[in-house]
Amino acid sequence: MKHLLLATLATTLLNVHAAEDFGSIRFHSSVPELQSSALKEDLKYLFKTPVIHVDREFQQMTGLEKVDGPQMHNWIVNRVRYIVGESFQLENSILFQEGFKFPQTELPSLPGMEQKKESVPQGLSNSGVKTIMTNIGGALYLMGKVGFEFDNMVTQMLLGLDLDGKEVYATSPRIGILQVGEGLFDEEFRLNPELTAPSNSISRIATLFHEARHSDGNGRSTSFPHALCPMTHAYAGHYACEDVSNGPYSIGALSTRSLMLNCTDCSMEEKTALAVSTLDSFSRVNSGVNNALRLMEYQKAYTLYSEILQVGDTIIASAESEEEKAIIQEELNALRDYLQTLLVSMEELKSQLNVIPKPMDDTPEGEWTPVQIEKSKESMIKEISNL
Amino acid sequence: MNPRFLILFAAILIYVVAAMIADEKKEEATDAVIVIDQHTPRETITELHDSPKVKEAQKLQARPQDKVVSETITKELKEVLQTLPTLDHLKKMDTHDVHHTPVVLKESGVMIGKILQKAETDPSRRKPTLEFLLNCAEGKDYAPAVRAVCWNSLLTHISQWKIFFPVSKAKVPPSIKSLALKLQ
Repeated sequence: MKHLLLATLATTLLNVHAAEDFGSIRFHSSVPELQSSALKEDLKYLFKTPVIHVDREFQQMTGLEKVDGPQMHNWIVNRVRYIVGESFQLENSILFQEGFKFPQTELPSLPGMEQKKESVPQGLSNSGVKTIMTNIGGALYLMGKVGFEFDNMVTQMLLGLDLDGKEVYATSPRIGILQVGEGLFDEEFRLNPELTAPSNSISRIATLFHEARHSDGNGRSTSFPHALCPMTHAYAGHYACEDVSNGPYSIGALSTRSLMLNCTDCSMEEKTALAVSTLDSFSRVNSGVNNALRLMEYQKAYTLYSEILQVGDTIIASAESEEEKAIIQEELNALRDYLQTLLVSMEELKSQLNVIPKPMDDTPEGEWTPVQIEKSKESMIKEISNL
Repeated sequence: MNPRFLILFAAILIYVVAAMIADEKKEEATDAVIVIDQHTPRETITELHDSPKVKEAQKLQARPQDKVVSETITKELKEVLQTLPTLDHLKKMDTHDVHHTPVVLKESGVMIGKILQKAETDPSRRKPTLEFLLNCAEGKDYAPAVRAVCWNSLLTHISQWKIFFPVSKAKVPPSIKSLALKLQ
């Protein structure tokens, strides 16, 4: 008895517990109790949420037969099978297996996805920042498919993780391994002080939908990578946008909108905050209307810099020394280069003024086993009735 | 002498003088109204009613506390406008902070929601709130998502509250209006 008490105390203090299944998702032992409890409440909220207002755009994009709790939950569990915590040590858990035949399809355009020599793909290492949520399954699959350079040869390699003694290999982006962090549960991330308030659940579920989308796709759409936000965007220079109409930001936006519309317990403050979140996500979809605005900005910039260049000779003539002349000349050359870049971007934008971003094929490639609706429904009903 | 005492004394003095001036203006205006009686010719009555002094008296005769409340609300809303997140603010964030909706945007949503809720329960706040929403939607420095939510809320609440508020000449670009439509 004394040993049992000591073990319980140690477990509580260390916040360590065994892996557990909940509603067809396996929670790794590295997920702290508070976080796994909150996520379980979120899954229950999603499963039980009454859908009075059906968002047709959401239904079309997710391909749901019917927009109801069990169907939405099933959509998630077909893309999220494992959840690991922020303290999960990727480097110590990574597995390699040769001989897997990846589909002979294109790779998506990804920054920094060159063949790497490191044993742990850099993009997956815990970088010390506060994690919200990341889809590491999709990244593992793609890194294995890109391959590694050994003795001047690129070899594809199936990557996997040891999850509490279970070997899980990324044979498809649908392997669905998500990592959650304290950022997702922080007080500053909440719309309501109460961790499991409906508005907070909606916010976290939307993040789940976003990350789950990274488990879809084939060829160029594998894992639905983000695109670079354009020059005039609020998030210019970051890979926090998308060029497709059915990517993670669109799915996240639509799920927020759908759940928000059906939230009977959300206050005006919470609904308005959810509305801002919805539109922030939509604003990251590069579209024709946004292209027109960007073209206007580029044209203004072009005119401005052209005027400076036109008086370039006069400016150089006013230089007081050779050194100053050189500095001015360097600056004018840089402006000329920049104008060339602007011209190219403007031509591209002119051809995209009427663009309505298209959806990409979301059928997942590789080998994976779907979770049938009856199974996911049964697993959730069991959890709810265990209360 | 204690500087704080000096400041307090100066503040009291300014208040007293201002009150005296206001009273004087009120008396002058009231004098104009007292002149009218049954012997006053019709033309004179019309002239007096149209006179600036009478119009000012009518303004002063409006409840002074309404004017104070209105100024307080406007000041409060102006302060909120100044705290809304700007494009510059978002552009300075790092990749990790912008991957999902930044916290500052969600916080601004909560603030705007609070303003709407207050106006919902207190009709005297509705017109200033619509003004606030328009300023927010037109503010070219504010984050696009916030501007679009303000624009959507403005259009929704004009019809909900049944208040006339012109929007046809609002300086809101098509991209913001188009984004706002995504909430419908």
